[in-house]
Amino acid sequence: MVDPLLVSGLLSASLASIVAGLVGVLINYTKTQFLAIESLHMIIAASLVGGLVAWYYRAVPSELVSLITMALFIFIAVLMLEKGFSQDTSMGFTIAVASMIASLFSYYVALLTPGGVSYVYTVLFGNPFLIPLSSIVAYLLTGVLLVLVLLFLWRVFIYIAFDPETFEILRGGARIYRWILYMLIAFSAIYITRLVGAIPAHIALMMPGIIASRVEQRSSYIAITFSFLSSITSIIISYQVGIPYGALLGIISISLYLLLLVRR
Amino acid sequence: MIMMNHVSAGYGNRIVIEDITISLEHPFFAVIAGPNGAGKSTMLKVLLGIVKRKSGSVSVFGIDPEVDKKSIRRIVSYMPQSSTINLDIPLRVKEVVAMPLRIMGEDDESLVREALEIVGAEKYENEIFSRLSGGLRQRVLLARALVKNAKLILLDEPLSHIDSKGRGEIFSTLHRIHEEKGVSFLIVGHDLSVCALYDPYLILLNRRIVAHGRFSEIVKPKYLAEAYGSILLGEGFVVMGEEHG
Ligand SMILES: Nc1ncnc2c1ncn2[C@@H]1O[C@H](COP(=O)(O)OP(=O)(O)OP(=O)(O)O)[C@@H](O)[C@H]1O
Ligand SMILES: [Mg+2]
Repeated sequence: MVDPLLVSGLLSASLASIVAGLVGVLINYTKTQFLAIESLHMIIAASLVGGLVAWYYRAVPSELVSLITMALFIFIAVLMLEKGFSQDTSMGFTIAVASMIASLFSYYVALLTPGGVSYVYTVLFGNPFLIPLSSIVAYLLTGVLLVLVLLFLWRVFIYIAFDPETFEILRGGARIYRWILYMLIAFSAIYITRLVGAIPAHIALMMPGIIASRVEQRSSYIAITFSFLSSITSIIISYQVGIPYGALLGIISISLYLLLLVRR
Repeated sequence: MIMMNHVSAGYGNRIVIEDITISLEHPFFAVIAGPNGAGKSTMLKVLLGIVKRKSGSVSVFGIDPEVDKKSIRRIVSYMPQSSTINLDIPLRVKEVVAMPLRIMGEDDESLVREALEIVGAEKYENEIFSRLSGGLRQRVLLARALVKNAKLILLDEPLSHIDSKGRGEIFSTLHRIHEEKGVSFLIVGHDLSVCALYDPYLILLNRRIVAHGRFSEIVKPKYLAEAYGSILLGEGFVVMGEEHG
């Protein structure tokens, strides 16, 4: 009998890795790494705000508070870009705000709430075996939906990044599509964080694209395949040996990248 | 027929083109020339409706481009100045050329191939666009502007980076398309020497329209000096330098 924990871990990691691979390539092509990094910092802060508020006001679900906080952060980031601040400035400022909030709230979450330390740890480093079986179906369905939306809009995103002016003339609405892209990146970051934690999510989002573009410039398939295989391998080893999933993901992708560097 | 009537336009509070009045009877073959920053690209964008005019009126085949964007999109094709394109995206040549078709939910490989043949770049169909030489990239972008069945084609410096033999060839190809298919062309160009053979309609622009009319009548030192400032040009013979990126 296979452990259901392993099965659910494998399933959710498969989907999260496909989302990560797809978004990773898109981030790489559209030069929106800044948004992924920004989102992950916001997620840490938002989760901690959610945790503390939900502990204080028992009736309020932490996810709701986190989502509202997250939306607020994204709004600030978007507003700054709209007002003509550079991507770097917008990223720097929102990350500073998010980090400040995370530092403040993590202290009180860890100190005051029962199980607070492990809550902070899970937000940061995740645990793919911790998603309760009851919510695994919802997690998988969300993943499938995310993949479909990404694939459906893929070409549009690429063409806008390539030549926004001509896109605007051919079809219009380039700005709206760009915001949809930003939202999808932020949402994918949330999705992946839920499984692997915010810190390893950096690895999951960045490394497939970087590795793939090292192998070949046209790289979406390589990125997705790599993302998938490294996730599955990490899950299995993590389950057998008890090394954290995120650490394994990092070890595998970083050593592969170094290998590619040496080989050429 | 396209018409601009006392049009002023610009960015923010700044006016870039002023009091432009011109009308061109379809099918026309017209060239816009003028120094850097004269507002040539802006003039094209006003015709496309992506730069809003501050005053005056515009009609493109009876359509106001700011009002009915959908209809404009159907009849007009556009090639931007190459500097606006993001070379980080690893698209293949054929994907670049297919962009106007795919965005409309169509795709037709034979049309893509045909367009690439017109500009002499069919060999590079499967190459990554950003790895091509500047001149080839320019040809591919031109192919993209030709791939869709447009009544009016606006080209922003289609000949930059292209060698002198290629310039002649491409310009004559464009003129042939104009004659055979009755397509109207409005071409921003710096190299006026290639025009001479075809005597196109020439619009000399420097913020305002300095002069317009048949090439042979407009290419006169008096007008050119007025458009380009104080530079002195040889009598009736113009070879503008290679343009910038
Ligand atoms: N998006 C923009 N925002 C603000 N100002 C702009 C913008 N685009 C162009 N301008 C300004 O408008 C003026 C005219 O620019 P435009 O690009 O139309 O000139 P041009 O004749 O096409 O020049 P070039 O030969 O260099 O392509 C320039 O002074 C430029 O600085
Ligand atoms: Mg220009």
